[in-house]
Amino acid sequence: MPAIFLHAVRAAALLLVVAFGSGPAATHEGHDHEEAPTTPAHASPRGEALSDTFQLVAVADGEALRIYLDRLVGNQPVTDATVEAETPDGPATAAAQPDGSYRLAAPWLTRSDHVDLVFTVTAGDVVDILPVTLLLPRAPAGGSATPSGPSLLSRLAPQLGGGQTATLAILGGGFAAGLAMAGLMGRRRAVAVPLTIAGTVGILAAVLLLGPRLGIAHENGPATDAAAPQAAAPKPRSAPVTERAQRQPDGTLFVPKPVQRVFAVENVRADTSALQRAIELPGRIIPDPDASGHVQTAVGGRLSPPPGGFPRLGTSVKEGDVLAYVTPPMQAIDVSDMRQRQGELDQQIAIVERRLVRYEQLSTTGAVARSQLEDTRLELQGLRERRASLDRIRRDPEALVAPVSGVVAEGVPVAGQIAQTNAVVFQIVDPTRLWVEALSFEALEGLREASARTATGRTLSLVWRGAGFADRGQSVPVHFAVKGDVSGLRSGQFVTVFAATGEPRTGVAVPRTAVTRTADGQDQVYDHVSPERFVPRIVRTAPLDGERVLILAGVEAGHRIVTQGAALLDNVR
Amino acid sequence: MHAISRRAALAAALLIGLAGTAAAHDPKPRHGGRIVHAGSFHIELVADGTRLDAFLVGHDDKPMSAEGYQGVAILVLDGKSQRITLAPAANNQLTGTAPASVPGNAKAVVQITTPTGGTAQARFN
Repeated sequence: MPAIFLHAVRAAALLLVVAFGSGPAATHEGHDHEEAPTTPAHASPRGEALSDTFQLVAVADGEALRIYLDRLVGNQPVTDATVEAETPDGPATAAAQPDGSYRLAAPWLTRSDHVDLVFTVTAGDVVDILPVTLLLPRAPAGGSATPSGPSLLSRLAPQLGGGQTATLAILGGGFAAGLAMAGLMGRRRAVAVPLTIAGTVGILAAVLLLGPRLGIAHENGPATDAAAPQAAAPKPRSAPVTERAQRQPDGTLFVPKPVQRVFAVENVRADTSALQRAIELPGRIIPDPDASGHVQTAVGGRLSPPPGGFPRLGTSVKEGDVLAYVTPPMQAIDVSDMRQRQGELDQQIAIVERRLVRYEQLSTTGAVARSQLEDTRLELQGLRERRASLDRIRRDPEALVAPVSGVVAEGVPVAGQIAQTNAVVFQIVDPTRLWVEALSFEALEGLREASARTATGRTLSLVWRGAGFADRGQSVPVHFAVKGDVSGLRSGQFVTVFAATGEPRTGVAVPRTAVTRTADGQDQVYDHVSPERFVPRIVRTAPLDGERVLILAGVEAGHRIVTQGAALLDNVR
Repeated sequence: MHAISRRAALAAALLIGLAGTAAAHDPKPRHGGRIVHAGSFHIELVADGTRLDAFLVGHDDKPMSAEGYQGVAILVLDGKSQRITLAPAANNQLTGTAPASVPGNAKAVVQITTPTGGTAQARFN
């Protein structure tokens, strides 16, 4: 029989607890706001709002509000907007500050612990209305926003009407109830102590569940307003020293707006699209074969500069410009050959000259035919020309001319240097026309365009030029022309080529900078869930091209993914 | 006997607990407007030409007296923000007049001040 009674008492207690627990829930019906984001204890009281265009954070700073306005997508600060607020004292306009925030005098902050504000933001031709609710601590002795055990009890006591005595009475009542139950149990003494404790704890729990809803609830219905303590005089809240980013116990990041602006955090709205994945090929920059050339010596010889000196590295030269002279040295046998030939020619010239003089005298008498005289004259002329050219051959060096227009990419000749036959004296490259030679391990069918990324992270767009057929170390060379700006690139530089190939895959394309590595090697991105909160999300990625990666899983379309500053967020502890 | 009484009590307790959370939804609009939760009640915003009405509906889905309540509606009209004060008119109704005709889907925020000075606001998109 006592046992039945015990069960009934227990059930009644349970009923009481559940009823109290569910009571307030009923008044919350239709409450559609999400669970309040956790902010660290050191953060100032703040409220935030989102619209289709903007995100707004209002931070209580003493008797003023600091207001941060940023674009919803992009997260860029909006500094040239007009921010008006509907405050408890009527409409007011916030003043833009040099640091990009807005400031609004807020003497009403100390009056209530719940402030509803309506911000009207006008930026260009966009007008948006953002309601913000600020929950402020009631500034008790500790000034803490999160109630802890003792402070909660002391807060409860006055609401229940009796101050400290009420608290004691509750505790005592619980204890007595427990004892009474134990007494009813009679024979089973061993259970008495736990029961007493259970009774105390049970009643205390009921009070704790009931208490917060009565006293510190933030709803503003007539019932709660009437119950709200009006006695506690609000003290001016001190502004925190600095607000810093912090990783919350649940793994999310709380990053105050000022810190976000230092980090230059930017985001992008994730869109799902079907994209071809890219394969990565190792490559290097080569000069366009049509716009580059070698300056080579056809014969070995001594180099000598043109009148303006040798063109130095980087000098731009035009096609046909003489870049150097090469003087072939005379071999001993050649010299003797030439001397012999000279001697022969000189001898013949002397003979023919004599003959010509004689013929000229005789031709006047008619003893020599006129045709004979003319033949002799021509013979002499031919002999003299041969002799002259023999002299010139000895004297004239070979001119080395630029085969194409461009700049001198390579070659530092020195006057007097002996160049071997076929030696490359200069390499001329047109720096505006560069190619990329990549090695592909598979046939790239139907590829028209590709992109390349340099070691410094620069991206180049490439146009297909052709692929080799002969295997070279299990791969074939593939040529692309670099399209667009090529300044800063150099011949021979290594690049990674991304060639779109294969079946299109569906996913969210994000910039490479959005993806960071966790300590255990997984890829993750930061989801900008609310103005000051970032949630790391583990993702599976596939390379897409030089700038982007494709998120195959882990993020759904519509989320805002941090694209800039992700590495800095990653270091927040 | 023991087991039955315990189970019955548990079931009853659970039922009461569930009943509290089951009814978590906005009431249906009764005046053809948009209804949004605001603090301890719901606001139904109805635009009719230049006339703007806000009806207060309690969590029990019954009209709530607007006696002593004050309101202000801020809405975007023709690319400009307008501030319209709402005064109690009828039983649960607060009324104000806009300078221009208000489209039914205008972006608006309604802030209601309760007789005790507390505020609640609702956003209509």
